[in-house]
Amino acid sequence: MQQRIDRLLERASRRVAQRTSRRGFLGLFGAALTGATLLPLLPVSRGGQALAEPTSPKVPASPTASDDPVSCDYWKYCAIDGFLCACCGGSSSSCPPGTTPSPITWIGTCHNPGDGRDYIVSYNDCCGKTSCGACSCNRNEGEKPMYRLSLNNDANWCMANDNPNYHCSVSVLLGVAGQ
Amino acid sequence: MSTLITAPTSFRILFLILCLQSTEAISLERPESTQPAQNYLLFCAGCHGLTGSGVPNKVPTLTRTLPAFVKSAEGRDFVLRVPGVANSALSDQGVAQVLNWFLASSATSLAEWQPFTAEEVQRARRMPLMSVSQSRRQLINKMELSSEISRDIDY
Repeated sequence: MQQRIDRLLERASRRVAQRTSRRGFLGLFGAALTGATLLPLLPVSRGGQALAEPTSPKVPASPTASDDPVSCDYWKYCAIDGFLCACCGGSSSSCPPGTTPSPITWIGTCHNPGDGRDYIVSYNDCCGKTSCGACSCNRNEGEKPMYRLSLNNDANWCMANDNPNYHCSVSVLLGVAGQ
Repeated sequence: MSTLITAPTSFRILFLILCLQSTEAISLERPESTQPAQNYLLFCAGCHGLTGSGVPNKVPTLTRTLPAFVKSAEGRDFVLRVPGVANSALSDQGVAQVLNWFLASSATSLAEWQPFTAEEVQRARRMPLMSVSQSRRQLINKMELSSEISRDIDY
């Protein structure tokens, strides 16, 4: 009985050895490994997976936008860099007494989340007195480096004033931006 | 004819895709408006002022000099090669439209000047002026413009 089993196993082993090669086995094994690794990368729909994840509340585009002229979050201050004139004896769009607005400035657009429209905004520095020092605000939406000077908020825009001392900055609305 | 994509061809395709992507990114940064008045505000008014009056001895006025300059070939060439035009982020078409809008809005009679074209802008702005003040002085002296313009000679 034992001899019969031995013969049977020997015959089976020899048949396998005759029909397959070690290289063939290694190649097949390698392909299986590679396939298993790449399978998760295939462009299959993962919609189900996304649905299974807990949903987070939708964050608004500008979560802290406000209409407070002494707050740096005021929507029309979207690219201002300096002291807010509203905290320095002026308003969000007018210079404090004793200072003069810069005749040159940089002009961009700010999005008003209140009505969903974009507005053209002129950022003017108020000049002629030393720095106000109150309500420092630095926001840089759309601001560009010095090589695009007309879109740079680090420049002292009081450079064209008779007295180039910088005091504070205002944000003047020029109109609604169209297409 | 082989349908295989050779290596250089595939690189070309990849390069084209990258170029198109970067163009899109740039255009999304600050879209140029179809309205020249808005483009004037966004691209020119920061320095030249809302009305084009400029700043005495700092930024040239447009209201006095532009209508005078555009009447001669030399003047037009100068206008299209100043830093504000040559370095502008506006397209050639955008520059032409802004200039034409500004001139049409000013008191200049349409019969006295030819509107700018995108082709004219493209040709001239490729060669920015290096000595702007000198070129400006030479132009004004040569044109023997009125004393009204002559006081805008130094910038």
